[in-house]
Amino acid sequence: MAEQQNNRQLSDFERALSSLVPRGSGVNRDRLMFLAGQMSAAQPGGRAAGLRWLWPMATAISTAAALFLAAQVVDQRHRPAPQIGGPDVQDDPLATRDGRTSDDRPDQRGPQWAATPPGQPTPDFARDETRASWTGPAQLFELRRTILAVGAEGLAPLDYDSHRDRVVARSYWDESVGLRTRHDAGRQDDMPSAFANWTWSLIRGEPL
Amino acid sequence: MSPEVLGGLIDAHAAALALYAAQWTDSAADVVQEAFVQLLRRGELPEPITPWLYRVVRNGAINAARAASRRRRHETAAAAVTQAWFESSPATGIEAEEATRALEHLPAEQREVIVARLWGDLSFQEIADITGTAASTVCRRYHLGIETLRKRLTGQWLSNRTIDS
Repeated sequence: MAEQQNNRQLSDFERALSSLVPRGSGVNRDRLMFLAGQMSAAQPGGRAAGLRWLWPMATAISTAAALFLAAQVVDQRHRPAPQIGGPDVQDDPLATRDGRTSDDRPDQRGPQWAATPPGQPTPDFARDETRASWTGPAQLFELRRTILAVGAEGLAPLDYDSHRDRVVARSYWDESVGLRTRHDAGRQDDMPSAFANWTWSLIRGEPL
Repeated sequence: MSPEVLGGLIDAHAAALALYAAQWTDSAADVVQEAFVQLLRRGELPEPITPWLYRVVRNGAINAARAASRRRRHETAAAAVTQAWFESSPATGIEAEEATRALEHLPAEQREVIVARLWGDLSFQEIADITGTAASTVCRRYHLGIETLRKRLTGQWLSNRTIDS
């Protein structure tokens, strides 16, 4: 009986105790709500997390591409220009009005043609003795080289001994400027060309 | 977690959790707030939620108490005056300050069980899971603690009861 009384008192006492209201938690509710919103915006695996790296990655890729292209441009500027095969034809600043070229000076020779056989002297078409003996393609190329180097006016006025020399010279000239081939050399009738005649007159020093 | 769910959890558990944390530390509010922040970080609600909250608050409060005990060595004793844990309510028949003092004088393991059981509505088994002890041990501690409190507060409680009746 006394134990029952004690138990009932105990449960009444428990109820009385549990009816005591704990003081406020002191939890900052507003801050928690703010944190909840912040964390839900940065939820792992969400859309925001995927987009977070989009712009930084795009910026990094663009920067890398720009740097690569800039390096390419700088590299190309410092690289020497590509060499095109063939003879290196240059102006001869040492050429003079009297027809002397740098070829006359062994230490300042101009460009050489591969067609010139080694050991042979380079013919100088500005000289009469050379001009009188030119009979082959090597000399023709040399003539072209000389014209390109010093210009047509660098050549001395031509003086031919015979009509045959004149015809042969004109034939070579036409061939060199691409108007006809050597097979056409003997055919005078289809040679006329205003440009060829005009150029030929220049070479010969004839008045236009 | 939606704001409504979080608000409901705060309303339902925050005060009791603060009381529970006050068994160990003076900064109970900070501990409870940190528990809710941990809950937010999880993203999903643990099941069941109440024991989880009490476990987190308990761990946080014990850690805070360790840190506070190191600090308190250099502080004055005046700073150790604790506030009443309950709101004054004459209807209960027990003074809030008296109840606080009586609880403070209980052994910590009994006080913890009583707070978790009476104000946290946790079962003995849930309290046993949180504290890492057997449910029978928890039950025994609870009854010992209640008996001690009843002896301490019974004069006041019985006199108030007699007046009421």
